[in-house]
Amino acid sequence: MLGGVFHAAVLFLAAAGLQLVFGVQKILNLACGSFYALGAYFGVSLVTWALGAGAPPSLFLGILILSGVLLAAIGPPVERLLRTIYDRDESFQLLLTFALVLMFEDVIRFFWGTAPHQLGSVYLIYGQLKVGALTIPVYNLVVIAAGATIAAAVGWLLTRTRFGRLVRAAAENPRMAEALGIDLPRLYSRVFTLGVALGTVGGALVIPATAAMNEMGIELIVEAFAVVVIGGLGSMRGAFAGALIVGVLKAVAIAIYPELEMLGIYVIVIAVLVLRPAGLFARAAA
Amino acid sequence: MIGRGALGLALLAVALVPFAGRAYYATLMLPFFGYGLALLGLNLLFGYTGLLSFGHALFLALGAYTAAYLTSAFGMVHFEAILVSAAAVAAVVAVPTGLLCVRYVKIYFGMLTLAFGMLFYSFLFKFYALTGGDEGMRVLRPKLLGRGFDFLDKVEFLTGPYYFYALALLVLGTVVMWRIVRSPFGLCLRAIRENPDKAAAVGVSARCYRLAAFVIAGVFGGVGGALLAVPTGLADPLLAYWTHSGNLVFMLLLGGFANFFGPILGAFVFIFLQDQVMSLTQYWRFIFGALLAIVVICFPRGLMGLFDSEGASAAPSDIHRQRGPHGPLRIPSQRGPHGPLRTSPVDTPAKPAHEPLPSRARPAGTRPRPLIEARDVVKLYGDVVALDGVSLAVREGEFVSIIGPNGAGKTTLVNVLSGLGKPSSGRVTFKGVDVAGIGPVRLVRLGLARSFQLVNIFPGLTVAETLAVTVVSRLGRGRRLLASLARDAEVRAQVGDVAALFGFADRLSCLAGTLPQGDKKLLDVAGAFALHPDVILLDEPTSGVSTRDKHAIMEVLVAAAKRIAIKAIIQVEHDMDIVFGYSDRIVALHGGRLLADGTPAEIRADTHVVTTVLGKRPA
Repeated sequence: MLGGVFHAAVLFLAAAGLQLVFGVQKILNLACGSFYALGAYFGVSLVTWALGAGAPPSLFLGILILSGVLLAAIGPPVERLLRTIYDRDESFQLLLTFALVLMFEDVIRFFWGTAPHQLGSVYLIYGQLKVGALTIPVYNLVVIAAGATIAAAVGWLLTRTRFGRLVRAAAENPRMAEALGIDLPRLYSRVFTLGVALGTVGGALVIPATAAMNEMGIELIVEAFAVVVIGGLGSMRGAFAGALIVGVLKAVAIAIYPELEMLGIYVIVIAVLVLRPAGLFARAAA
Repeated sequence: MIGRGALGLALLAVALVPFAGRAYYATLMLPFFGYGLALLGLNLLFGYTGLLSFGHALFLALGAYTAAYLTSAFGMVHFEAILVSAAAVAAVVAVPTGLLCVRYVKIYFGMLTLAFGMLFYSFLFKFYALTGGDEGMRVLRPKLLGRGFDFLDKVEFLTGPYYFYALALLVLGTVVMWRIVRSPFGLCLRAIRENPDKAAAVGVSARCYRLAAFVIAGVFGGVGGALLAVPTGLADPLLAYWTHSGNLVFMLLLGGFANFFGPILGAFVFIFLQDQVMSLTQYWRFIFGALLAIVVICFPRGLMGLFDSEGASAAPSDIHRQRGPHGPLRIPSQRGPHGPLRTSPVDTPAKPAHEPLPSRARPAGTRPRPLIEARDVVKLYGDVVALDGVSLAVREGEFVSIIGPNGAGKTTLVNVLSGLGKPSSGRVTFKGVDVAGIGPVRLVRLGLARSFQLVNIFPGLTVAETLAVTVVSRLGRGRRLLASLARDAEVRAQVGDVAALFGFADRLSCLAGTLPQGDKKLLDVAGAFALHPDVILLDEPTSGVSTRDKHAIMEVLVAAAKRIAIKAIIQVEHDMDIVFGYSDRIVALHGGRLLADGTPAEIRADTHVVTTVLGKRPA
């Protein structure tokens, strides 16, 4: 159950990145999973390097988040590439991000090979909590807290700050926003980078608990899609609720009837689409 | 247009591959046949209907697993039976999934299809006992046309009889698809791609046609999947994985979705390129990703786009093409002294003389039953009251103008009357049937058509095609999947009639999107007339047209209405010359309420209307 919430926290980060970019740029970024995978691999490498260089192991959480943020530097160039097709049909945008998926998959293969990468012992460094018969790694709680904090921070950023107002204006009507003097290219570049950062940090945070694998990117996309569809496209609250539903459901399914792990999620996705086509937290009808 | 010679040569070359010596290339060609078939279907969905599926691999997997089940579990080895079953299974799955998916378009459609593909994938992957899990299921060698070819070894079988069998299937599939895209059905699909709302306004239901296209695409995918599974001898779950769907779309784009043969070329190039690049480097995905990015950014029309820039094949606009000597991009700029309607069959009199519409059986003195009637209609948009208890009845033979200042609720009233908007309360009846909010498609069937205030056309269809869509819709030809539209004399004659009435006769092969603004609106109006409705609603048919041209257009409209025997016209109009020159009755709206309803003379005498709506007394 708590494992589900842990997974939900990570999933939320990736899905939030997807939602943010979709909400503003109207691009459904298939490559969000690739950013997540890149974040994971880069996190492993950076932590391993830092520990080798003598950094205290207890700092590794900070290093992971730092690695995610550093990696977000790939955001602007990727956004620059996507910019060439903003005025095209959505199908082309989807395909270009699919091209990115293919390329990033081999980039990872090139730098890190095909073997899974693990972080080893740092996972339990913060100790474990015993609640009754359960043993919970404190790290999981830390990540859940981090996920919640980031969710709150993004919410604050979008609703309370000047930057957030500009972003929401641009999402509502980009041409009008531009006519009012908003530097749209710069704004898009920043939003996209923020979206990338959410994905890479999510990938980095998950890594102490599992291993970085080649397939993790393309597998995450499917889950992130489920989250987004359940929650409603473009809605942050939806991403939050959707991630919780998917994460917990997955954990429950694994415990009870493993065959239904993903199947159950898709059944929910389709049920949501039939009963509430716009998602649970949709803003306007799609 | 690709010459028939080139096509024949390509076919010959493909047929000769098995004799070229190396079996390797022949085996490499085998997946091409399966993918080619699947992509023909996918392109019906994307290129013609405008729906991008990211889960089409589902149907390939269905076909492959059908083949596996029949051969391994049931011992059914007749390939014909396998193919028919694969098609049937694909269709059975495509109907419910399609029903859900086609409620959405664009990105949402892509995501939903992806979800369905992955649903099937996880089913295949997890239910080991049923599907063999990640190991997949074996597909045994089938019998072709009842013959087992047991004397041939596997490679000989695949590069011999099976090769030609698959090639024949691809050719057959190509011919069938060729007919589908050139049928009235295919035209309706393209109309929906261009403008689904406008298609609905002429009676073409986007949902039904999209569903049909989805099922056809699924069947092609299923057959393609079965064809694909025999050479590999295996049906495995990765066939349904979403990246496989992505690759299918990649092939489609590589070849060029705007061209009928693009998908086939794309499949061919993709397979051979993949073979070559994979032998060079293990990082073939990177190369392919970069290639896809380049194609998307620089060559969105794909390889075929490099060959023919005119994109003739995805726009099978053969109707009337032979008639017009001008290219499709000729914009008629030289307007005659009588406005844009040079070839108008109506002589434009200097002063428009008003004549009432023909009303059949209208005994003097009795008032006929209302054709269309609104009673106490209220329409709210949130807190805004757009219509506040409007009642209106229009009878046979009437020409009614709705006037009022901006924001008076004129367009809202037209929308409610034409079934686009559901009134918040009140009743709308047409010929005695309650039509409140039933949608334009059914209203068109009942005999009510409309045109729009803002330009509403199919930009990528020619004038002839635009009119043909309406004629096809009215004649109920849209269900004809395999009939040739170009050879349909009735459709062609009626398109010719309407075009002549509205002065489009010499511009039939112009793309609607390239017409001047006023002509775009006139084309919209012409489409509404081509439906031969009993009642026509015109929302500012002459806005955006110079005052001089307005009368000419109105003359054409009135003449066309007589010719087609339209029983009543309701129009929204700002130009008071037009309003008073043509109307039998004028309805004035203000602030969502009915201000006045009477003959032009009564309205002119109504000081309240004159001050609020007209501003000043008209001369």
